[in-house]
Amino acid sequence: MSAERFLYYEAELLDRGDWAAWLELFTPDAIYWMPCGDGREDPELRVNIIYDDYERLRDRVSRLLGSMAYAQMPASKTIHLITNLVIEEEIEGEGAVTRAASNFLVTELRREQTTLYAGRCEHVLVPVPGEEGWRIRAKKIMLLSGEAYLGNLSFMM
Amino acid sequence: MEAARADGLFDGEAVNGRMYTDEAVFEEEMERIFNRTWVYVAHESELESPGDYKTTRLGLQSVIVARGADDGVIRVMLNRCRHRAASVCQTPCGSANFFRCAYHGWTYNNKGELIGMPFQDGYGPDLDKRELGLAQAPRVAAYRGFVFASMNEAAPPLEEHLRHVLPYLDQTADSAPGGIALRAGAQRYAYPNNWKLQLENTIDPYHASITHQSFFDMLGKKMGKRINFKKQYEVERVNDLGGGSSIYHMDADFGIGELPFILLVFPNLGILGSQIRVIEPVSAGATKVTLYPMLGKASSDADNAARLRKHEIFYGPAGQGTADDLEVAFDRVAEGLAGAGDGARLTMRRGLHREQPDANGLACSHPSDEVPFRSLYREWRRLMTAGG
Repeated sequence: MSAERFLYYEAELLDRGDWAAWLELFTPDAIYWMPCGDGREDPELRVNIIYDDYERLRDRVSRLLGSMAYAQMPASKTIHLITNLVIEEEIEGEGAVTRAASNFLVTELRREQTTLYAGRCEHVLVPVPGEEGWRIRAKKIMLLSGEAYLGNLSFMM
Repeated sequence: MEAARADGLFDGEAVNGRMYTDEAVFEEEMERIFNRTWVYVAHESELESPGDYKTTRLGLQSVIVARGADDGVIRVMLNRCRHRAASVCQTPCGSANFFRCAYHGWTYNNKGELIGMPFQDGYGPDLDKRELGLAQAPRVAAYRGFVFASMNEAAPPLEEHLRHVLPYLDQTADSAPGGIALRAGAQRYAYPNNWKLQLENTIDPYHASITHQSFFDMLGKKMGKRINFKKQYEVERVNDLGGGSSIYHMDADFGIGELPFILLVFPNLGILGSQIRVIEPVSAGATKVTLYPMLGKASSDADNAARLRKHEIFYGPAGQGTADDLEVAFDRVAEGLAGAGDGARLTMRRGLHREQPDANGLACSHPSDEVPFRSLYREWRRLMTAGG
């Protein structure tokens, strides 16, 4: 599966709201990062919108899968558009890794409001031995509106 | 505002839904509250060096908070050229010796003094530039690094105004090794409802175990022990601190921040968790909120990072606490109030039967009681009905 196909597959899981399957796309050492700004500063010592390791991402998903995550009641509906994909690096063999950068536009519909979230996304993907697909070792989401006053971002971008 | 009108909006034990929806009330609040009383504008760590500035708002008015380049004095100036009213500063923070209006080139130093304009002879010999500096907040004062401003020349001294709040500002300033600094950036969120709802929601222990149940359930599982809110509330208290401010004393660590209390400083400041929270009214039905995590000046990077990670779990637009509040405390309340007109009378009686005067003679009660709300609206009423 090409990296491009994989990104579409990830988006499809997000748009279906299949959080459990989406979580399985991440490696145990994964980082899921949405900076407040353009992400050029050190995420450790700046506050971020999201800066989750796998465990915190898993907690986030498990809360969403429960019945009392009011932030998603009503649930967001999303459509992800992915474009401007660039494979920035492709290492094969031992320690194989692919770095992909893309632009995205997520249209979110919630409570009769449509909100557009545009941005640039950087994925670090590692191949899965014996499988066609990939796993996500890192996903960095740089929102165009990262420094703006944002609304309820409890859905997965 | 006439007393009868104010009473119709808050009568001591209930609030009318119009309190949150009426644009005419909002306009009066901007004049009578944000243009009169002491309003939080900055922390000194945001203005460390001479020349440093940040922009913020007093009510709806954009202001520049700047540390004088030559004298180090912090001033609060309206971000409005005295000529044709264009804003002269377009960035949220920075360092500058001058602010130059791009319209006709009027130039102000960073103390707000008008020091230059092109084609000055157009004004004749009796031009006095001293009368054309950026309008200043007549009162600016800081306590332990917390900077407040008032547009009211006759405001009481800050420390008198914040009398019972001061010990908690002390505690906050001393809450980290070497003191605190706002150096980690900020999270920002906005919601389509009234600013006073965020004040309420900031110091509302009653909702913690309900709205945030899914979060505390998850936390309890991780920590291997669940918070027993009922038991905890028996030893904890909320206190009116006067002037619309209030405090919730926490007896245990809820796992979301460093401070052992939630402090609300009327009209626009919350200090809780590991953050300074600034509430910015936009209209009756719109509010902006900024969360500035506090780092320890002498803390290790590891400790500061841990503090930020804890904050991020609960707070911010994707925070697992904040997001639930955005839905429940703001979206659902907007839906409930839609079209209510004068018809929504919302009880605010919790604890009236059991609140007691504390050592300061101010109301104190069980954390789930609405002492903070009544304190807030009493001050609201005082400012909204004050003569002149």
